[in-house]
Amino acid sequence: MSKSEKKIVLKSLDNEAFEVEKAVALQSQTIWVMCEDKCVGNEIPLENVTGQILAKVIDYCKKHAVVDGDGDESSEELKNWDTEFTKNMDQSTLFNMILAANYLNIKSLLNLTCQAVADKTKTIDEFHTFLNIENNFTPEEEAQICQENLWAFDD
Amino acid sequence: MVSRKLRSELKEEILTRVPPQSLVRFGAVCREWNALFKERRFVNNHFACARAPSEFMLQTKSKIYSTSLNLNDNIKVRELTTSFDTHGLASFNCDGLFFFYDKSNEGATVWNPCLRQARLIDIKLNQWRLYIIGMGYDNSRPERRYKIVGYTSNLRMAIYEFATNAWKFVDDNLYHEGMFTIQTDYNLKTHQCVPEWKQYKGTLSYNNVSLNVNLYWTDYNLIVH
Repeated sequence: MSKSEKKIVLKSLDNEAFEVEKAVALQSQTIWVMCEDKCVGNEIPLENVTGQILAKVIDYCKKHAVVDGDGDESSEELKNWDTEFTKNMDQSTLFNMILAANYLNIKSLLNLTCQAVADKTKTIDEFHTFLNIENNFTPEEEAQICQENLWAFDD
Repeated sequence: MVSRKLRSELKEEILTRVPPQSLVRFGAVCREWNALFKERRFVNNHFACARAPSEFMLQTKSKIYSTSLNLNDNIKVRELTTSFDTHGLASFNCDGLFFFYDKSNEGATVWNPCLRQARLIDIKLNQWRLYIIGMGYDNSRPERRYKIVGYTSNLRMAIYEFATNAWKFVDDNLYHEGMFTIQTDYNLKTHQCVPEWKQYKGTLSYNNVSLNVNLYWTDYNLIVH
């Protein structure tokens, strides 16, 4: 197999091209299916992911790929790397990472990013803003729920 | 720019990972979430996904407290309020779920302090009153299936399944060579007792622990000198 066949080009929504090892890209079930179908060349257009987010997804996949004997990282190291990876992401980046992980169908990345949001979101207001959810309780209902859950609100 | 709306299943992915002690608070986010937390499917997913809380529960005669276990931080003790009176009730604890029952009457309640939900459970099978040994789960399926193990006064083992909301006998009569016998180790997945039959005369103690799919308890013989 020639070197070029082992590589694949991923093209983002804003036309940024990333050349990556096939083994790295195939962690995405979506890309895997596209390659199986053989209806694409070695360039794959990803219409829902921007270059900025795709670059991060590729970083993640490179770290997690088992390529040519590079896959002997201990699980402890990998876990620490994952923590660092999401630690300084702002909410908007995390939000787009969740969408990308879901679209590309990379289960472990979806788990990681959802867990990061669950850990970072501490207040009800943060959920309203971050997930763009409307508070649709009447003031009476809201007061009643707060009353029922009193101990959960005290810290 | 992608619109800032996640599909509901993605929101659920996030919610199932919220630490248990914060979850109840987020029922106040919107109507849909408040309803979601009452769905059994969600509760099961949450138990399977959420990180084990670094806290344990303390029970006094009339109150229950949650105590945080983070040693780098100040230890926080919070009183948990139940919708029923726990005074004088015996309790078991498994995965943060509580099982309370009244030794003198027939009533029993399973209580989830994280979601503040309670379920009333009948502790009678046919005409027999059930004595509770403990609570555990079978994790051979994607969702945990919680069960309660008990025995009747004629010493037959019975299992309560949350899924079916019913008790059923799981073995033959435990009379063995004229002596009362009872197992000390019960596998909730295979319904097998390990390792051997033990002679049992006396009071069953209620010290039990549920590990993986096994429920362990201690019993002892009363020797009269």
